[in-house]
Amino acid sequence: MSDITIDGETVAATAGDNLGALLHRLGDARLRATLSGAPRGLFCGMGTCFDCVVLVDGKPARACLTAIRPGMVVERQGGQP
Amino acid sequence: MSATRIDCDICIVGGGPAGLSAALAAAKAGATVHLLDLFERPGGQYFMQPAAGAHGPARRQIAAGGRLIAAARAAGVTVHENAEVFGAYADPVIYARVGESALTLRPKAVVIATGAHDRVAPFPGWTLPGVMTPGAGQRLAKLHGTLPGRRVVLAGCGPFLMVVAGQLRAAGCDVLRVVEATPSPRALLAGIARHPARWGEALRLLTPVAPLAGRFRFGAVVTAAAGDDHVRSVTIARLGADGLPDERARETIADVDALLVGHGFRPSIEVPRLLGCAIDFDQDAGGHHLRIDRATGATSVPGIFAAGEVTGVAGARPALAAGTIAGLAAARHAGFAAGKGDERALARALDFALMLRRAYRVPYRALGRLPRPETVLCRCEEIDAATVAAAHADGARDAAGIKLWTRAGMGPCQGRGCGFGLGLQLAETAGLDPAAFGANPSRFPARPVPLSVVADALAAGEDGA
Repeated sequence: MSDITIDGETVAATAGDNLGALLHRLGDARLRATLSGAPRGLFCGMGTCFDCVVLVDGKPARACLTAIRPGMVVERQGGQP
Repeated sequence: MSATRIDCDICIVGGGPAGLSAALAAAKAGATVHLLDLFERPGGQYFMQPAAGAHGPARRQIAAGGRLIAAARAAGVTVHENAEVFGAYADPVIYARVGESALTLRPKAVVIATGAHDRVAPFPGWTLPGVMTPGAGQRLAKLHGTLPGRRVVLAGCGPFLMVVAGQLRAAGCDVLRVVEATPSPRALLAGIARHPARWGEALRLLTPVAPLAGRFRFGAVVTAAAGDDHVRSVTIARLGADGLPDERARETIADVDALLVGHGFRPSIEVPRLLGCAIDFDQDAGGHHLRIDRATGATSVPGIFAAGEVTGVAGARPALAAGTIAGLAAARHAGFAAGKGDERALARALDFALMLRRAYRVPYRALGRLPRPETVLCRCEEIDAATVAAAHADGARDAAGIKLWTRAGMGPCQGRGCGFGLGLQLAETAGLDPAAFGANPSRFPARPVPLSVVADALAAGEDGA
C-alpha cells in the first residue's frame, strides 16, 4: 500500500491503481462540484468528458486516466473558479 | 525542452482493434510503424487489457487482444502508451502529449483509428453522480475491479447494453433493469439466425444475460434520474406508437445507485478533422464519421487512411478487417510492396454489423424531447436547454453558431459530450436537420494541453529540428 493525500487527508491506496476508480469508491460516486456547485462523478470513464478533473500535484488531470503514484497529492474541485 | 521527434514510415493513431491490425499489417510489409494510444495499455475499449490479465467473463476477448498486441510488437511496431494526440497537419505531422512531454511524429502515412465514445442524450438528472455511460461502467468493472454501483439500471439502445449487463452481473452488481429502446428482440434474434458463422459468438453474448431476461424492458427509455447529490431513483416510460414517451406508461425504479445510459457510440473525429478529412453523416452509424474508400481506407486527404469506428460504428470484426486493409494501403503509400487485404472478409463483417444496426432502433425523436428548459445540455459549460432554445430563436442554426452564442460545446470536451444531444434537441423542437446542424469544428489543440508541451511539440516538428 502507498499513502496518497486527498483534500489534505492521508488515504491508503495501491500504486498503479486507477485514481478515478478510487475516488468513485471513496466519494460514493461524487468526484467534484462544478462552478455552479452541482456535484459530478465519473461519466465517460475514458478521458472524453473531463467531468472527473482533479488537481494532481497542483495540475489538472482526468482522474479516470491517472494511475496512482505514492505520495501523490490530490485536490478535488469544490466549485471555486 | 522535453520533446521527442520520430521520423517514420507510418503513424497509427489509436490502439484498438483497427489500429492494432493496421499496425501489424504495415509492419509485416516492412514499414517502420509507431502506434499512439491514449491509455496505459493498448487494446481500445473492445480489447482492453486489465493489469491482472485474462480473467473473468471476458477472458477470451482479453486474451485475443493480448495476442494481437503481442503480434504487433513482435512484428516491430513501437507502441507509445499514455500518448494523447492533440494536433495534426496533413504534411503529415502528428503532435501528442505524454505526461508533461511532447511527442512529434513525421510519418509518410497516417492511419486514423481513434474509435468512438459512448453516445448519450441529455435528460433531467443526467449530470448526477452515479449516472454514467455503459462504457464507463464496463471500464470500472473490467479494468479497475470497481463496481459502478450495487443496484444498477442499464438503459439505452444497442447490443453493448447486453454485454455490459452480463459483465456487471458477473462482477456482483444487482442489475435491476435493462431498459432497451428497441420494441422487441425479435429482429435481433432473426438476424442472428441468418448468420450461422456468428452463432457461437451470439451464444457467448446471450448466455451471461439470460438470467436477467425478466429484468429487460423493451420499447422504453429513461425519462429522468433523481437524487440530491447522487442518483437514487430512475423513471422510465414506454415509447408510444408515435415514437414518443407515453407518460401514462411510466415506472419509477427506487433505491438505484448507478444508472448506465448510452445510445450507441459517436465516432471520434476531432484529430482527422484537424487534418482536413471529409466527413459524412449517418445517425445510425453514430452520426458524423470519416468518408473513406472501403477498398483502401483512404480518406479525402492523400496519405491519411482510416479504419474502424471512426469511419462509422460497426463493431470490432469490421474494424479488424478494415485495419488490415488500411495498414497495407498506408504501407504501399510509404513505398512498400504490400497486398490489399481481404475485402470480402470486411464485406461479410459489415453485413453482420448492418444487420445489428437495423435490429436496433434508436428513438431519436423521444430523446430530443426529454430535456426540460432547465436541463443542462452542455455538461462542461453548464448550458441549459432554455439557453440553447433562445440562441436558436436569435438565429443560431448549427453547432458552430450555438457554440458561439451560448458556449455549449466550448468546454474541455469540445462538444464530444453534448453534440448528439444538441442536434436531437434542435431537430425535435426546431425542425433542424441533424446532418446540416453539423459537427463541432475541431480546433488546434484538440485537447487541453500545457502551452509548454504545445511549444515543444511544434518546435520538434520543424524541418531541421
